Amino acid sequence: MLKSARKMGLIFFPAYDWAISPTHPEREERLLYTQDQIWEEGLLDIEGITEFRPGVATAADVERAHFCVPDVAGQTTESHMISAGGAMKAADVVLSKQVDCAFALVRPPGHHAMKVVHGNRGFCNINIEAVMIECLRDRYGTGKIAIVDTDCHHGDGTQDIYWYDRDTLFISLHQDGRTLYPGSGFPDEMGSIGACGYTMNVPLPPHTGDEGYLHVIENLVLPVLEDFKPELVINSAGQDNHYSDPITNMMLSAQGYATLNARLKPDIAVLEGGYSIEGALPYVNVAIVLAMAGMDFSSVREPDYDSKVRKQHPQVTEYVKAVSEMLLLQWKNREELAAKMRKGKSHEERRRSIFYDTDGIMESRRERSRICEECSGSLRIESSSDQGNSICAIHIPKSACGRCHREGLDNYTKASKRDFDWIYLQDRKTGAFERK
Amino acid sequence: MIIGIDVGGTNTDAVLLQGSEVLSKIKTATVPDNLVSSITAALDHLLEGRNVRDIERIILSTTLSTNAIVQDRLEGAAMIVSAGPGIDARHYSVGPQYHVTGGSIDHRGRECERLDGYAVDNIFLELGRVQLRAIGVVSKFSTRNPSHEAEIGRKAEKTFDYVALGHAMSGTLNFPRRVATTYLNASTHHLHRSFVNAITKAFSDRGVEAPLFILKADGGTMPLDYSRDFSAFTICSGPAASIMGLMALVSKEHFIGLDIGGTTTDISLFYRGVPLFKPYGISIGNHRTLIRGLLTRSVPLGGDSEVALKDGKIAVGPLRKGKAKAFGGEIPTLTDALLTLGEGGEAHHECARKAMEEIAALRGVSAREAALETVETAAAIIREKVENLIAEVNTRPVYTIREMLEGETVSPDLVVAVGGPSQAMAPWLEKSLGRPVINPCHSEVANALGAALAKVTTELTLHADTEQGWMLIVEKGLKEIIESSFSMAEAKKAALEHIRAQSELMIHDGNDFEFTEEHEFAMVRGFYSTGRNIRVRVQSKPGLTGRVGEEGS
Repeated sequence: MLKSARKMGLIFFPAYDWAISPTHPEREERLLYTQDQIWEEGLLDIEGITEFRPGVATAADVERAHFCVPDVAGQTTESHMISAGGAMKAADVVLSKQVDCAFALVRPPGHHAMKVVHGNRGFCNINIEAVMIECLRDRYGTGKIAIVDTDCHHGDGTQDIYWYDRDTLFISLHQDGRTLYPGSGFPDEMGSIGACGYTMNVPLPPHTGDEGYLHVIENLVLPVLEDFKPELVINSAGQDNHYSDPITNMMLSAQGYATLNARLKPDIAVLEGGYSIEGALPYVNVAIVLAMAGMDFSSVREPDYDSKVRKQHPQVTEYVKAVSEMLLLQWKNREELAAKMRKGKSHEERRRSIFYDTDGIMESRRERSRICEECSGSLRIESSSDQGNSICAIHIPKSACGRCHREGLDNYTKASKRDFDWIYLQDRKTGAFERK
Repeated sequence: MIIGIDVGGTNTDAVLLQGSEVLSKIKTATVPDNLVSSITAALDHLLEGRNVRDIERIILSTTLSTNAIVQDRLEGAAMIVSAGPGIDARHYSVGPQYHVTGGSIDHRGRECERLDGYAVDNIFLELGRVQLRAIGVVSKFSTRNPSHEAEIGRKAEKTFDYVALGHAMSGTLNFPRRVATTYLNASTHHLHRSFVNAITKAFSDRGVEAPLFILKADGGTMPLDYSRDFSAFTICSGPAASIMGLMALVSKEHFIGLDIGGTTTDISLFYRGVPLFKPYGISIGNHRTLIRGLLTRSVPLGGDSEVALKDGKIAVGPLRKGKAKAFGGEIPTLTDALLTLGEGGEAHHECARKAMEEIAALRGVSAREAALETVETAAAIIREKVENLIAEVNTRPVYTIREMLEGETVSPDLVVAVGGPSQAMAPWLEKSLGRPVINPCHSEVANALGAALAKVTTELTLHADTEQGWMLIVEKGLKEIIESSFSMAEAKKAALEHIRAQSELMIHDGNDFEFTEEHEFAMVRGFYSTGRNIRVRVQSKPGLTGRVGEEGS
C-alpha cells in the first residue's frame, strides 16, 4: 500500500451544480475530469492522504476580509460560501495538526476579489484565501503569513486586500500585465509606504515554461521567504499557466507544477484559475497532490506532453533572470525605499478606478491610510460604483496600535450617512464589524 | 420454504423459513477444511421430515474465499496491467506474476498510446512457462474504454483456463482497487468453482431442484452458477450475513446494529431501513477492493475480552486470551463481569464472581463494583466507536451544493443488539448510548436468517459521451454508437433495459431498480457546446425478500 511522506488533507468541492453561465469557463464541468483522474489514480487510498468535507463560510467570516456592498448576501451565492469554507477547512486541518499540509481543490476561485466588493471580477466574488487567512488569524492567532500566487493572472484582489499589511507577504508570479487580464502586477506595485516590499509582483513574459518558473522560485521566492520567516506559506494555485490553457500564453507542465510545489512546500494550497479542464487540470492536480504529499510524481505527465512541450526560449530565460535579480534587490532595499517615499508624511493617499469585467461595473476608490511605525495603520476607503452605491469603509488592522485604533474608530464615528449609502467598520483588533 | 445456511469460521447456522415463520433452526460447529460437509449436514438436519420439493430456494453464505485470502492460501493468478502515465503501476504489484505493459487510455476513454502487441506476446511467452491457471487483466480507465483489457484478454485465453477482466468487476473509477479486485477474483476462481461444483452435486444427490444462491459482501445474493465468474464478490459475506440478519429481525428504519461476539463487536448502521455501504469497497488483508460491501466497524471487544487493571483503572480488551473464567478460562473477562452483576447462583456464577474478586482486590473495591466498572467501561468503548462511525458517515465528502446544504444526516434512534453477551449488556448500552436497546428473537441464527432473506442484487454503470458518439455499459464492456441528441432519459432507459436483461438471467422474482447516480455535464469547448457527458448507475433496490415474525424485548 502506498504511503505518503507528509500527511496531507484534500478538500475537493467541484460544485457540480453551479456555473456563472452555461458556457462560461467557470462551469459545472470544470473539475469533472480532475475528479476522474484523482479517483482513477486512487489518490485517496494512499495512506496519509485524507479527504475532508468543506465547511460553509458565514457572513461574519467574509466580513473579516471584505466590505461587501451592500452586504455579504448581496454578493455571494452558496457556492462562494462553500468554496471559502473549503479553504477554511484546509487551514483548519493544517493548524489543528491533523495533517502537515492541505490542498483546497474548490471552485469558484477568489484572487481577483478586492477589499471592497461591488460585483464579480475575473470570475471571483470573494477572496477565498483572504477569508481563510483572516479566519485562521482569529482562530489560531497566526501572525506572519506568506501568499505565493502562481495563477497566470495577477492576483490583484489579494494584493489589494493586503496592500497595507506588513504581516502578510504577497508574491504574485503571473503573465506580464501588458499581455493579459487584469493588466496589473508590475514590479513597482510593492505595497503601501507602511508595508513597502510586502507586495511583490513578478511579471513573466509569455511562453515562460517550467525552467523560468522554477528559476523564480529558487532564486527569488525561496530567499525572500527565508528572510521573511512566515509562520505559514499559502499557494494560490492557479493552473492556467499550463501550456494547454485556452486563455493564457504560458508553457508550464504538470511536472513543472509539481516541482514548483515540491520546492515551495506550501502548508496550504488553494485552487484558483485553470481552464484547460481536460488536458491540464487532471494531470496537474494529481501531480500537485503527490508533490504536496512528498511522493514521487516523476511519472505523471500529460498525454500530449512529448509533442507539445518545447524548451523555453533563451530570451525568455534571460528576461526572467533579470526580473528575479531586480526584485530580490528591491526586497533587500525595501526599508530605504519606504523611507524615501515617506518623506515625513503622516498619511498616504491613493485614488484608483477598478473595473469588474464579469459584471461590467466601474468602481472609483479613494484610500487614506495612516503611516505608522508600530502597526500597519488604519485605513479609510471611500468607494462608489457606477451602479450607484457609494460607501465609506474603515479598516483597523489586527496589529493596530492604540493611536491607529482610535483614529479608525474616530473616522467611523465622523463618517456621515448624508455622504454615503453605507458606512462600514471592520475592526480586526476587537473582531467587530459594523455597518451604518 | 426457504433455507439459509451461513458457514462461519466457528459455527454453521441454518434456518428453514416458511413465510415469516422460522420452522427449524440449527447451530453446529463448522467442520474445518470441509465446508461442503458442514453445509450438507445442516441441510440434512433441516430437511428431516420435510419434502425436498417444497423448497423454493436455498441461500448459502461461506467464508471459503475470505479464509483463503486471510490465511494466505490463494492459488495465485498472473496479472497483466497497462496504466500509462500517472502513479507507477508497479506499486500495485500483486501475486506471483505481475507484469506491466504499455498502452494508455485517458479519462474520456480515448486511446493515448496503443498496446504494444509484441510486448504483450512476450509476456505470454514468459507466462506460458509458469504453472498458473488464472489471470487478471487490468488497464487504467478501462471503465471508459475496455478495449485494451479485451485485447489482452483474448490473447490470454490461449494460455489460461480463466481470465478476469478489470472492467467486468466494477464500473467505479479506481485503478489500484481494480487491480486488487481483479487479482482476488482470478486467484479465488478455481477454489470457488470446485466448491460450486461440489455443492451442486451434493444438492442434486439429495434431490434438491430449488435454485441455489450465494451471499455477497453487499448483503445481496447471486445465483450459485453465476458466481463462478465473480468469486471475489463472496469475500467478506460473513459480516454481510450478520447485518442482513439484524435487518431481518426488526422492522425499523434508523438504527445501530451491534453484533457482540466473543472477541469483537461489529457495528453497523441502518438508514431508511437498509444498511449503509462502505464508501469505495471492502478491504481484506492488504487488498483494497472495489467489491461493494456493507459498512461495518469491528471493535476488539467481546464477551471473552480480557479484563485487567491498567494505570489503576479497569481496562477491557483489546485482547482475548481464551474463554471466560466462568466457563473454565484462565483470566477474568467481560462475561465474568456480566455474570457477577446478573442473577442466579449456578456454579459458573461463582467462578465469575471469583474472577472479579481478583481484579477488585487490586483495585481495592468489591467484586460487584469491579464488575460494574468493567461493564461500564465496555459500554463506553462501544459508544465511542458508534459515535465515531456516525460522525464519519455524516461528514463524508459531497460534491454538489445541494447535497452540501440539504445533506441528509444519519441519526439512528435505536440499537439492535445480537450475540452472546448482548442481552446482559443491554441495560448498560442503553445508558451509555442514550438509546433504547432491542434484543430480537432468533438472534442466535441471525446470520442464516440474513442469508435466507437476502435479495438478488446487481448493479450497472452506463457512461455516454455524445461528443465522441458512444455509450458504454461498463461492466459488460458493451459499447454502442449513439446520436448526438442522446439524452439523460435515453441513458436511463438503456441502463434499465440492460440491468433488467441481466437480472432476468439471474432470477426469478421481479426486482425494483433505483438510480444511484445520474450526472449530466454539458461539454463546452471554446464557447460552444460540443456534447454531453452522461453518467448513470442503476442498482436493484437493496433489501430483504421478507422478515421474521415478532420482535424481542
